[in-house]
Amino acid sequence: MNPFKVAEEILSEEAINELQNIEQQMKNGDEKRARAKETVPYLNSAEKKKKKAENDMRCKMYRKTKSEEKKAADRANDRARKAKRKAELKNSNPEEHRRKMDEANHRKLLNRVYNKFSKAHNLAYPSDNVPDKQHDKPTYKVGGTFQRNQIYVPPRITNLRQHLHDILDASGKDNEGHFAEVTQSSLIYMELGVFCLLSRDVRCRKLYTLDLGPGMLMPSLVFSQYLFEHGFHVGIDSQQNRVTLSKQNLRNYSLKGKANIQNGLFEDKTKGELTNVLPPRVDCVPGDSVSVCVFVCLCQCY
Amino acid sequence: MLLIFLQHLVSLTPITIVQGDIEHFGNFDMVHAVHAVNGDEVANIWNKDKSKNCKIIVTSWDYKEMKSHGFKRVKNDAVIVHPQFPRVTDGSKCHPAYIYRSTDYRKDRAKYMSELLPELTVDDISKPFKKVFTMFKEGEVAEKTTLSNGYPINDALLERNCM
Repeated sequence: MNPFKVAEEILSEEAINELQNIEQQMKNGDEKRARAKETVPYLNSAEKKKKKAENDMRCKMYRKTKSEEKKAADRANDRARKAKRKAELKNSNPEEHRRKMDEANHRKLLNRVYNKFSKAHNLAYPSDNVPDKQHDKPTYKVGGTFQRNQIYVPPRITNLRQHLHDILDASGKDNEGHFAEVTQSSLIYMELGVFCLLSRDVRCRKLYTLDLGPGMLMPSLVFSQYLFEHGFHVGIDSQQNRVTLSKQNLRNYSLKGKANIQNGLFEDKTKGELTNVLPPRVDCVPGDSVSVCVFVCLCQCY
Repeated sequence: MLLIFLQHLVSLTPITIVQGDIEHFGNFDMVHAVHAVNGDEVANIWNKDKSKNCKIIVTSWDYKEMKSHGFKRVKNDAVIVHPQFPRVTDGSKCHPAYIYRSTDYRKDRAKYMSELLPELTVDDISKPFKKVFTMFKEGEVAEKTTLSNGYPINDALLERNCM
């Protein structure tokens, strides 16, 4: 049953015309869609890649063939367009403008810092060739967003906790309660900060460090494996049980390093630089920053 | 009564345990004192003349707090390890760490501990580290081997750690 034939009896002529127009438009739309399907064929992923590569090549050629005057004019145009957009936003919504500017500045600052750190890493380990520019770095996914900022953490430090004996707190949890430890990545960030603060002096790799309250001896072990590895690192703790635990960790780690040397993993200069564990130049001592006198009175009543 | 008193005296045995207190930070280039309990005591040791060789101190206090603890010869250009890099040191909280440089760093730039090691005498070393440093020095001077990648191994230290 055609609805338009029914509507002819009820509606006026103008309304019927409007309805007919709508029907015609719908038909045209279907035709357009059908024509589009015919003209644009379905592409496989390989075909898509090929087409993209061709397009990129064309763009590159266009960029190459462009004269420098034209490039400069384009850049000036872009700059003017951005400035105009910024000014419009600043006038219409100053709070949003301020927020966006802060975000952009923070991103720039972080980029600068990360580039500085990757340069510091390359100074210490020239064979690694960590990319020191932002657009050369590989991306990684964090919660659905792609990020590029990261510090290079060597594998022998990411696997550090495998060889350590953890202490469990009263509730039977590890690394959450009172015995929480500093993470490896933050320690590396700190090391790179020190390296940059002392104007990237190569002698920083021979630093002698002291750790007041080392816990599981994590900081000293990280120092001994990365950047300050040629130096000597001492941890000092007032509790004897902590000292024995850290001594045990140190023993496990140095045994692993000794085994690596005996297996000949460091013979090749390029490989085995940052992948395998080295015997740490670390020691742990009982003691405190304050002199403590304890009087133990053994009272016996007769 | 007297007998009982004497017996009581004998049973009272006061034992003194004196722990090795640090006299100065002169043996080290860097001190990692994040979340140190005795901030004032650490400041006292840092301010001593003998610990001038120490170049860097890492703490969890900003410049004002450092001044309130009594730290001297510390520059106000700290590098901050931002809390976005998780420094879990106190339960589940993340805290920033501040890296300070001493004011004498530029003057004593050449004096790194590794270069001063052959000249070190036992008297210069702080009390709790005397044994460790003397053993390390002997191993470093006599029994040192280097790998192909340039890493020095102190054989005496390695043997002691593997025991």
